[in-house]
Amino acid sequence: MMPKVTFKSHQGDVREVDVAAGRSLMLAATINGVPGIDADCGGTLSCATCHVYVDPQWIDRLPAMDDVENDLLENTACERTGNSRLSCQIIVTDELEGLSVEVPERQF
Amino acid sequence: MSGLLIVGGSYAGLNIAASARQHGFDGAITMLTEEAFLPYHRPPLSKGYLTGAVDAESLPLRGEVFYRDNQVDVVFGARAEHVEPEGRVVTTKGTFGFDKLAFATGTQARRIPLAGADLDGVVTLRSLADANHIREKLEQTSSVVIIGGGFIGLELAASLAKAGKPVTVLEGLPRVMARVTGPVISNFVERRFAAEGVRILTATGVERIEGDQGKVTGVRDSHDVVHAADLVVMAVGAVPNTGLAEPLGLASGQGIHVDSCGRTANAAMFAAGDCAFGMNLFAGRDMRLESVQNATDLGKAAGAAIAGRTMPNLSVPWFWSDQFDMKLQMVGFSQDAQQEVVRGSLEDGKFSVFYLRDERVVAIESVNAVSDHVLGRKLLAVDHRVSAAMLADPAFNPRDLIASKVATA
Repeated sequence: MMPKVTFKSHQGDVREVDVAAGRSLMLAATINGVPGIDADCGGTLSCATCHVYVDPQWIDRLPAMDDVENDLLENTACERTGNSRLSCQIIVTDELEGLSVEVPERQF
Repeated sequence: MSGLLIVGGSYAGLNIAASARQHGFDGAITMLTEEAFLPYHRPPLSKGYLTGAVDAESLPLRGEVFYRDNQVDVVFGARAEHVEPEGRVVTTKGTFGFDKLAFATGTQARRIPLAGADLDGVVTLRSLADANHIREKLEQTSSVVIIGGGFIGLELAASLAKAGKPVTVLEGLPRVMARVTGPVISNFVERRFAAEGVRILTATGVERIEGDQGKVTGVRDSHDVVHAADLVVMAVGAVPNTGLAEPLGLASGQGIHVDSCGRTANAAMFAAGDCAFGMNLFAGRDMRLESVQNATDLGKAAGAAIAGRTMPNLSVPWFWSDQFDMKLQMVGFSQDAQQEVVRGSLEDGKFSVFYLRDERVVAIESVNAVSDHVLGRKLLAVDHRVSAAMLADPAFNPRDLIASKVATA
């Protein structure tokens, strides 16, 4: 199954990509060349450059973040909000079909 | 119009290309790489990729779409042989012209010229091809000796031990990771590895590698003990690839000389990443840093410079290494510190060592203490003053040292 997810840039451009179920949102972005997700540490929870703002209608439908992600989110370049997540920790499943996130203006 | 030619396809090469485009460079961009693959993540090669937890499809730093969208032409299997300063690079895949040239040639694994070093089964780990080679050998491997107790050696040791292989690590200095961490971390890591059944012998060098009929059978150490092995990994550091830049007068044995923007003495030439030696503004001195962070950030600075924008690399250097259940994270440099303070619990395996010089935190080395590390990346970038006594008080929160939220450079 290939759920579709949507990335919106802070300027309003919309990119819709198919993601193989089980892949992280971060990987979907980098493989598909969605701009603005740097993913410097390659998804190992060692940086904060895959930061996204999850759409309010989706934020509570995601599995809760762990302590490490929570700590790392204090290091984002753009302001952390209640909708902030690290996209390397969002694993796309069929239940997340239609997930929509906004990409921050910068990651560093 | 020839445009920008980038020699090297890994973190620095990719970030030079991306940053140049981002800052408005609109000439042609060509990336020459010796690899058969698009630039890819290296850390999984000693960890998840080896054990099979990470597959090849998750390795590329960016997918093909990125290169198309940004009009970056990648030439695979191109080994650059020499540079004609007038504006051409001769490679195994032809000659390429340039207006601007960026060296992102990285390093290669150091090989000690030991007797037996050329035996089948003696390997180094640098590239995806190397990792594939090790992966293929693993099933028939019955025991492993790793020469070198640095980051790569220890990560490999942990991965191979988790895969069920008996592993012995031989480290010539008195403690592991001696060049990059302090004794508290070294000792903690050594105890953890011992608890996992990995033998680490410190203050132990290698005399020779032994073999039978062309295949490795063991390693004779400096105390004349022979350790049986059918796979030997040399993980003793890396040597910068300066061969193209040296005839141009742009490099020494230390690396390709650059400023904090990745500019060389030649206005048309730049360098970034593991191959680059130059002013690190955080440390206030010339150095060559081998890290994902440095390759990424200096690459970004060089790309900006290529596009005509001066954006020096101001980043506080940071590093990480995952070994067994230990998330090691380092920020800053501890070598010039005068004092150290441990915060957290060694017993619980969640702690940080704060290093001070002149009442300023100059480095933090953490084990499973991400919030200390994250704080460190901000703290080390701002003026602050704190005594060892204050830091040693568990009731004191180092976060209070940061007056306001500072965006990282």
